[in-house]
Amino acid sequence: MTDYTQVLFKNRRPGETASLETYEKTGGYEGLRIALQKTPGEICAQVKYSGLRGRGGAGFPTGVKWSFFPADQPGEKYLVCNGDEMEPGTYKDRQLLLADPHQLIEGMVIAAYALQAPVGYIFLRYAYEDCSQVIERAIAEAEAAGYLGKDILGSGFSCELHLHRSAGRYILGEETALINGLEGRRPNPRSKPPFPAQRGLFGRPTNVNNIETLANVPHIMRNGNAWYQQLSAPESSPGTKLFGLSGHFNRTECFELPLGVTLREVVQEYGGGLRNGKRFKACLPGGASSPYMTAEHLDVAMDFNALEEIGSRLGTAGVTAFDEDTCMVAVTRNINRFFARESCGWCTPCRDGLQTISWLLDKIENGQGTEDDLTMLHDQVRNINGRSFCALAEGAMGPVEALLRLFEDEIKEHIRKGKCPFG
Amino acid sequence: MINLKIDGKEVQIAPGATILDAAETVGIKIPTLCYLKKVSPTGACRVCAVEIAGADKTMTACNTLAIEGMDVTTQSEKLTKIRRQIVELLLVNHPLDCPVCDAGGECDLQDICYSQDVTRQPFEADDVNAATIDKWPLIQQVPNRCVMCEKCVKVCHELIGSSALFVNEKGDRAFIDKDLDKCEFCGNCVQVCPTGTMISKPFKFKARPWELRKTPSVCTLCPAQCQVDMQSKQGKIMRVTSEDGTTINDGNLCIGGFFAHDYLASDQRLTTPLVNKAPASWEDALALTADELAKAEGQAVAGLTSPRLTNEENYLFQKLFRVGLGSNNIDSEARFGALRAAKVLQEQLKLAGASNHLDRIGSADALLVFGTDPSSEVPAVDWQIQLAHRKNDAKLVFANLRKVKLANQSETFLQYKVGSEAYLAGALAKLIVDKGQANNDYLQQFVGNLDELNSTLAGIDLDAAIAATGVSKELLEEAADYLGSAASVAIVFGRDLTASTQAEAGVAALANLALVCGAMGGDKGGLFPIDEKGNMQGLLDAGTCPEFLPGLQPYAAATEKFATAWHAELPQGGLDAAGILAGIESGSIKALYLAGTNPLVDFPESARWRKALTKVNFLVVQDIMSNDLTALANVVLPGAATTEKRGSVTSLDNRVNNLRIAVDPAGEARPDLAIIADLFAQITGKPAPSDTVVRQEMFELGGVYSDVCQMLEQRPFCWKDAYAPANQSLTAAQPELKTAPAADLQLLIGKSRFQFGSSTTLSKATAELEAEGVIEISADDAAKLGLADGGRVTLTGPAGSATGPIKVSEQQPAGLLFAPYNYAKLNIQQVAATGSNSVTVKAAKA
Repeated sequence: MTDYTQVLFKNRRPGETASLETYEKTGGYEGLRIALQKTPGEICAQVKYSGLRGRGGAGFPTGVKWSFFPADQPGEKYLVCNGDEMEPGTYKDRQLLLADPHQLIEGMVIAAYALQAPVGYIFLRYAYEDCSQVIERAIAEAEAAGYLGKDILGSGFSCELHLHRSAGRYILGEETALINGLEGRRPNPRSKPPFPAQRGLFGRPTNVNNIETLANVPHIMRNGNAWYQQLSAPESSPGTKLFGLSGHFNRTECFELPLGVTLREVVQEYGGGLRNGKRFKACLPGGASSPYMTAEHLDVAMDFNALEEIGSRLGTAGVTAFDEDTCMVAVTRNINRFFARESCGWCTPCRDGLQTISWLLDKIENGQGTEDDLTMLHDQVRNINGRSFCALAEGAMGPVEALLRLFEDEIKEHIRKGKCPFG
Repeated sequence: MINLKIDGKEVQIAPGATILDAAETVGIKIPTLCYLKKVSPTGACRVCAVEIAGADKTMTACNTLAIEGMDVTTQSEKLTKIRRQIVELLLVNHPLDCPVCDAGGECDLQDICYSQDVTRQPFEADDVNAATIDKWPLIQQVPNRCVMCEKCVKVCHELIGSSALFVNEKGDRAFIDKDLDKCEFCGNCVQVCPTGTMISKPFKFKARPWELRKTPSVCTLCPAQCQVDMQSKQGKIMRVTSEDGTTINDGNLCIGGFFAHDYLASDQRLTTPLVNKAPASWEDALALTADELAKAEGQAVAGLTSPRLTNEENYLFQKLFRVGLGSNNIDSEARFGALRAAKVLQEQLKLAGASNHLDRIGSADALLVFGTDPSSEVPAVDWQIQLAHRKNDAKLVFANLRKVKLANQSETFLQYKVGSEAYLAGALAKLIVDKGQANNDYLQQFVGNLDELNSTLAGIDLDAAIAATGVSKELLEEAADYLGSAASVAIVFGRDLTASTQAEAGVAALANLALVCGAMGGDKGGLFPIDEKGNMQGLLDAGTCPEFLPGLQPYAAATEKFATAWHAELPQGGLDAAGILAGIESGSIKALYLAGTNPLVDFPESARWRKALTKVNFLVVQDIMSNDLTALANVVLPGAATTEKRGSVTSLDNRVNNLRIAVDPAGEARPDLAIIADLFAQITGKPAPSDTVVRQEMFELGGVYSDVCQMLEQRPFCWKDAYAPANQSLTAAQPELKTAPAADLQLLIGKSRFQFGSSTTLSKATAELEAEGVIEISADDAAKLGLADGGRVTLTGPAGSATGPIKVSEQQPAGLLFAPYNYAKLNIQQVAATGSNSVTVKAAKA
């Protein structure tokens, strides 16, 4: 399907999950052997210099995050894998787990060693029943093979991993809410500071990473930083990325592509264009909280920095396309309803602000909107951005802000005509 | 220290402080809504947004730490706009039903709308608020008035420790819900609610806040004596509240303080003196009483008084008997518990009351709560335990017969068997010494008979202790380790122990344990005997028993001092409660004066007391309620409640508080001191002493009162002398260790968690929760009896039988029942033996 080097998906076969045997045959757990020869500090440094950036959505440099972790501090410390993949339009972690789950196990053991946090939790999205079976089997296989458990590969390092299935709310993807959820509490985000690295799960230092991020680590260990960096063109965004395509594409599949491919390539080559030969109007490049890109952005490179430059975000690289017949007010209203529903209700801007935005978008979409409503919508977005307790409301503002910036004419047409121009 | 700038002002503050804390120190007021000083910051409402130079976002002052060099702006056009919009968002789907909302006039949302100039409700959204919750007893929840500040949830969890309230649902459907089984009905959620979301049902629609007159006073329902504001309208107490920050209890109240006060307005209040059941004038009633008491003077007259009366009243009561009537036949219900503990502590440790102030429980590093359920007996002690345990990570060792609230929160729960208290305390002390964790410096300095202490502990057979207590060696060692290794220890014990057969031996063993772990050695922790009755410490201090003169001064030793001061010869001998009871039965006691006490309900062997009291020649009852007892009296003297009179009361930690008059006494009722003083005058021919004179004399002769007086806002109080034993002055005891005989079924009699004494059973509010006394029983025992909740059982014990409904409770171990003594109807005290609150019983389906 693709000529690009396949790293995370190299063992992907339709309808199959790679066994431990397959994984080992293609270099699996070699990264762990190499890592165990190094000191924890050396691994952290290597991850830092590899340039690996978090794949959960924020794109924060993983090695830098690890360097904040007090690996030398005595007492319990925890590693948590955030597998609560609930961003609408995002399904890449699921594809990764179903294709080749040992990458995650190996990545977590290496991370646990590097961070000296020998107890790890995999926090998995509630709906991922299939993945949970895959993970449980992989954990059992890894334990039996000596890659997990006591005295791993004779190194003296021991590590245990536990699978925890989420109670099933979007907010659990926020790392401090996730920690509350793991502790059995209501998953409200926590006040920061203290950051999880200082006081996280059960009040102890905790490091939280996305599945895809951790799955990259063994490959970096095995093949080195130079190899990793040549996988993609942009220096600031090395490595490959899983792009999950959805929406009006002809092909709605997940592809592993180098960071920095153009949106045009994603749309034309991998999405196969839009269904019924329609024209591309816009997309969410990285899940429901990333600001829209439009046809004018087709030549923008899909990497962390380039998308920030045009006012969007790579996010999870779950690309959702909308064709020319799509009403962007309706799309945004739909997305906003999701965020309003998934708000935990803790802080005012999120709890009441998102509902107010729903009310305004409803009015406009239903043809009852006024110029004043448009002004109020601008005002609300300004007032919610940067004012809420956690990043959920800010994420929710991504598409609304982009709607106002890129599709103001379309909104005004709704107001002028007193109805949705798309019927 | 951290240096920062707020609105151009230089501020210095300790590390860990927030911007809001820092602003407060220089008098800069940042608007807040969800912020509540006494709980952790929430940061939910976002009203306290401030600008920080160099930060692209505004930050919330309540939960952002002050950092060196920070430059904060709290007032700007941008901030005004942000705050206004936040408040406008809070008004989305807020009903604006202020005219019929109980919070109208004292609503933080109203106030912030005014202060932020919010004059419209510009935003709309679907109204998805949950329906009003009416099904909870006493408290109504109106979700559409809620601003989700979560103050109620945090107070319930962090301060009260019941964790009944929680946030249910999410987004704008989120609302405050409650696990009713965990609710203590303390009403703190109502008190901290900034809007009319949490509403007190009894107070609803009774008054607008501006109509209420606030009288600062203290609650006398339990010995913590929380500082409260009695809020009255037209001579009636409408509600009781307490203020954060300015009160010793930091605004926290319990069900007693917040809800139970309506018993004062019961239609059973006595409003006029009665002579032979007919209304009479005060003049006639007092003359007859003085006459009859004087006629029976000496050995034939006796008096029982009460921890419900003030210090001055109890002081004058004993003086009336000793000086006016020449009788030392005086006693009270302290006899059955508190006095027994007090005698041991006085003898061994020279201790009267607690060794330290209540808040030192909160600062201790380890806690031993022994034979008491503070959540029920003295809730303010529970709050201190919560503070120590939750906020300061203190280790909690909880020793109890039942698995009550604190058992579930403790590090170590020692569920011992009835009658094994001395063994349990002894074993803990032994383990601490054996491990070399004893506080030797303290022991060397203060204990006069250290060798005896060591030999006593060495003589304890650990296996025998394990067998007697039913507590495993592992748990004993774990508990001993927590207590032995902590830098400071607070030991709290109460009625389960002090009213049991083990009172003397158990308290002596606990005193040894307190010495060994240095509980009384420092500024943190201490030894805290607690008894649930409001002025129990004041009652003990007043010398209202044959053994002690005021200030717990031994009677024989202090006789001369008091005889001189009083210009009178003091009587010798004297009968205690049991002696008085026997005296009535034998006919040697002819006249009995009961002041604020009801042996028909409060005393063990209550049926025997009932029989005796029908026999006594002359019975005078001074009380506030008409009941079975007043029906037996020759003369009934209506007294005033503590909200209706002046006087002082002494808390369990030796704080002497002044009562203030919030409302007038009911009808013709009079302050009890005036009644006793009048009798004193008529009997002795001396002038009736005023309350000031009585107080002065009590302070001078009592010898326990210092002049350390303090003022918290408008709330004056004095501390009694601090506990400071002399070197080598403390003695360790050799408590007798006994193994209690096995029994199939035992009954523990204690306090209902919803009632305070028998008076509050007349409260309509508390009646909603437990209208009649319920016998708690394990599922096993209920099954054996073939009974389910509400089924009735007859219990027969050493003194008689009682019948009541059961409730299956997970708190009860198999073989142990619990029944509250508070209810006249259940009258469980007719089953009990004197000196034993846990008795072997036979149970039968009624």
